[in-house]
Amino acid sequence: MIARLRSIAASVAPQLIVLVVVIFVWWAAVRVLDPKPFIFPSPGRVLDTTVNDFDRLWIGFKNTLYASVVGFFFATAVGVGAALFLSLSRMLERAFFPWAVLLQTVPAVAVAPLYVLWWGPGRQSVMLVAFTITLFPILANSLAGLRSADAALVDLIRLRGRRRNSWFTFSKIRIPSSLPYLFTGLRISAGLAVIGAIVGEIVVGRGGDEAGLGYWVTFGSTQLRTDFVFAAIAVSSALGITFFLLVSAAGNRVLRHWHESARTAEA
Amino acid sequence: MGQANAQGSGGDGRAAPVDMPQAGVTVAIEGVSRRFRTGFLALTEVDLTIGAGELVAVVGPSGCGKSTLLKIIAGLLTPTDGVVDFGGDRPETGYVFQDAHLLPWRNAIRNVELFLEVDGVRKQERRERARQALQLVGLADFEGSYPAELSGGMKMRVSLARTFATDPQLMLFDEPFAALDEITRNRLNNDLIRLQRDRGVTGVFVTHSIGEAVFLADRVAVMSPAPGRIVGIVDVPFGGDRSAALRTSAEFAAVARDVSEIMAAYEVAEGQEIMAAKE
Repeated sequence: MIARLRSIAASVAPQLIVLVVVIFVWWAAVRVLDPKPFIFPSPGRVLDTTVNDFDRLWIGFKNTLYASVVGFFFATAVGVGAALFLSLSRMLERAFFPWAVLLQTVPAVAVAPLYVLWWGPGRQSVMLVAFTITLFPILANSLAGLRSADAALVDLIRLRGRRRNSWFTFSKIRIPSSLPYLFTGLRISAGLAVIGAIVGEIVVGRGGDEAGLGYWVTFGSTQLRTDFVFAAIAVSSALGITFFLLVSAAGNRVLRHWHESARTAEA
Repeated sequence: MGQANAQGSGGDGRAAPVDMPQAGVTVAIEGVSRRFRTGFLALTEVDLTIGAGELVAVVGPSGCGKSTLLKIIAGLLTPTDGVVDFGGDRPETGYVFQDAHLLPWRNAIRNVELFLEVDGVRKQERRERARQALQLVGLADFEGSYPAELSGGMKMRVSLARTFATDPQLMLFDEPFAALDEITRNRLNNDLIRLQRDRGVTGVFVTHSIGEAVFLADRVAVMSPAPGRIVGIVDVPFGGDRSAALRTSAEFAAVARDVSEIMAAYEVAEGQEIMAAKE
């Protein structure tokens, strides 16, 4: 137990040292250069604001969390479903996948106003932006994963009378083979979902009960309250990181044996 | 017809243990050619008959169509010309590749169960047969180990067990031990011989190691460079006695020399063709 704690401490310590150094440099720079607080606030000031405006940030945190999680789950369902469909044949993949790539090239900021136009300036538009931005990594990675199944083993199963697209092959070989890839996609998308929600909130621009962190960023900057903008950004980063870590932890748990094989391959 | 269920012992008088089923099947390859869609002719007019319980090694330079021939026998590829006749229904076929092709998320015994699962064998029987198969390859103590925890040779053994668990009548080996070190490879060859002969399973073993071919097989078929065809068959007169000492004997060396002379003749021929083409 103590050894375990020690190893966790050893892996976390370097990151924490970097954080402390960065904050110190920030603090020292503000101290020496003395910029106007609305141009560049000090770390202490940002911390004060975080505490004082906790209620607003908390509302923002909850709304952004909700929108990004819902967008993320829809993207997972749609992305995995579409990947399963496209993996049924090379023909389907050739016909549809290039169009899916289009998803990735369309900037979320550009489609957000359209969503507002079509579905109004509410939560659903924010979720849709999060959904749009997270869909492609999940789709592309799970498709690559489904394609990664051991072809020779699929052949051996074919010899025993089950086709490539049989339920047996999917459930016992192809879907499990795709999981490491799927989780790579989910990890990327976890961070993106928060970004998508914030972009959506900035475009939607609705405050009050529906105010997300993106709204508070806009709000803070129009009021020249840079410290509040900083605080909102910090909270959204924390949210993104937490989301990413949760998905990673889930992945590590599911993929224990895959990781062992990866470890042996390295050695 | 009805040859598939023949109880033959390969016709060379080898005695098999009483309680082991003689499962071998006759394989008649008649005029098999295969041209790929690219126009590449991989095999041309291959004729080869393999008796029940016989193990034939196929040697040849890489790219000569050895693997294509195995895939055609297995039914994974259809020949452009010719037929493969089993004298009845397609037999239960085991296919072993160069890599073990195990599922990393399943432990050894669950990997061995995979094909039985495909066949719809019930859980309890599956478990039992998988356990026996693991015992057969000497991995009884490793049934709970995951592939990542096993050495290359052990993974290959799990792969063999997975195939033997289905009680094949015909075994196809596509350079199964090529990726292993020589010690492991020899050990697996010894075990393979034992399994093969005890059960009287018919086998086709593709390799480019002449030593391995002579040590394992009843006959060695030599293939020419592409387009592959069979250019010579060498009988290996050692019967069922394949002890480790055989490898260093003069008789062994003589047979190996016969095989390599046939191979060399065709390599030279090809070399001359290339020279002729350049002029």
